[in-house]
Amino acid sequence: MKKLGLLGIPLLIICATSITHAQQHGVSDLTIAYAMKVTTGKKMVAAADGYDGSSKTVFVSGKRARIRLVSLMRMESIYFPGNAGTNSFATRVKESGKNPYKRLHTKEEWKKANHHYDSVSCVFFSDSVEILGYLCRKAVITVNEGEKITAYYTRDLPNLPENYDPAFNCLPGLVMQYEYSYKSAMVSCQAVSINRDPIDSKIFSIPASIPRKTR
Amino acid sequence: MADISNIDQLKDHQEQPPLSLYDRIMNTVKAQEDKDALDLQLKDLGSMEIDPQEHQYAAISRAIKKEKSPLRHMIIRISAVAAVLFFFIAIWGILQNREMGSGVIKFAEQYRPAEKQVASNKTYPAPVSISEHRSLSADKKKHVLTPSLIQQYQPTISGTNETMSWVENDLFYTILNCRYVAIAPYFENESRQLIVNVDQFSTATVSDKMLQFMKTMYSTNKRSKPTRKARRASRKLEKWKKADALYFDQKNKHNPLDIIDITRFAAGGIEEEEQ
Repeated sequence: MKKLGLLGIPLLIICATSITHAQQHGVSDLTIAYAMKVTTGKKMVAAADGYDGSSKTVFVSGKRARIRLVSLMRMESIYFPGNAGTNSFATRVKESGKNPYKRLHTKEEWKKANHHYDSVSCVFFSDSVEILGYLCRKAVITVNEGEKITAYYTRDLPNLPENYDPAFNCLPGLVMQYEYSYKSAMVSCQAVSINRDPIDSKIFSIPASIPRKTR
Repeated sequence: MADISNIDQLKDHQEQPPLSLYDRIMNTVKAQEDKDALDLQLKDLGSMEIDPQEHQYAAISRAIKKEKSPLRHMIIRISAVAAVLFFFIAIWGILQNREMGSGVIKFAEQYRPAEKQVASNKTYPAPVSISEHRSLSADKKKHVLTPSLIQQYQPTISGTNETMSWVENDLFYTILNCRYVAIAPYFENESRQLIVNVDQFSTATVSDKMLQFMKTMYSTNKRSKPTRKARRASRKLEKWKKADALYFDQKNKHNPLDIIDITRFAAGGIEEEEQ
């Protein structure tokens, strides 16, 4: 009994340390791929059809994160270094095209760039759906202008750190599916794969060769 | 019955014409006499022979034989020969083009944009503009694959071994730059989805609408040149790229990763002609 008690103390310490580490350093490595569906609502082919079939990939490692869009029209990433010491909260990098660029944002600038989500509220429903083996619940997110985003989230996976994807700040878990309609157009994203393999730190390196855009 | 035995005696009868008519009668008789005299003189001349001078001989000969001038004759002959030659050259040229065309198409079946050329850039109308417009080697020099593309992964068409080389780090142009034989099955079979593995994490699926649009860009005429529709599609793509850059790259107002921004872009994007 005494031995068990002695053994329990180190175990408790280890567990406490792990929890603290997770809290301080965010989510352990997670890669989520979403498939994006864009419908313009028009018979004619348009530029936005170039985004139909694109993929959105979210890489998370602790506080670091990267959200990447790969589509016919462009490839773009948003890097969140997650380090309070850096002068950039979020760096938007356009990787594709003749004129790639990167744009640094402080926390305030990032908030301003996402002005749609200055006030976001969630209403939760009991509707549920299973996505990739995770039970997901429905939520309707109301944004500034009264626009509504319908989302399905899972509590089994942690949400991204605050303001990384500000539309889903109010969700208690990771968003697995969401859609939004405006006029005749509709965009929906659904998670198609989740991977917990360790992520190479190079994924989170912002390429130095890409020029910086200030305006 | 009247007595007609005295009619013979009338032949010796003479009557002087009226004076007013006398001159006219005399002139007529005299003219006839002169004519007869002239005819007699000319008849004499008919037997006379004179050898013409040399320069006169040719002219007289031509006039008689109704010959054309030698120079004109030569020109006509040369023109006729030239016309015949031109005809045969034209036939040969047509036959040559036909053979070349089929050869090009065969070549195109195995190779890429250069052959089944994709009308791409506004700088020129026809095919492939992508490889003509910006050579891959130039692109590779200008736009080195960066870590942001994750391990400089060469994109591939899912389910095949078809590897593509990046063109301007742009997936659209990269797909258009791949071998026609690799992409043609997706044009022909509407149920087949064209999925591109960009790297080990990301894939992109070409929608049906975009696939049909790409097919238009590959359309060629009998001379294996892009059709007008293909060139129009190429200009359309350039227009889209500009509109996309204007909406998402200017002034940091819109973010393609933001669902609201991208939906509004889809709702209010450029309206194109019906396919």
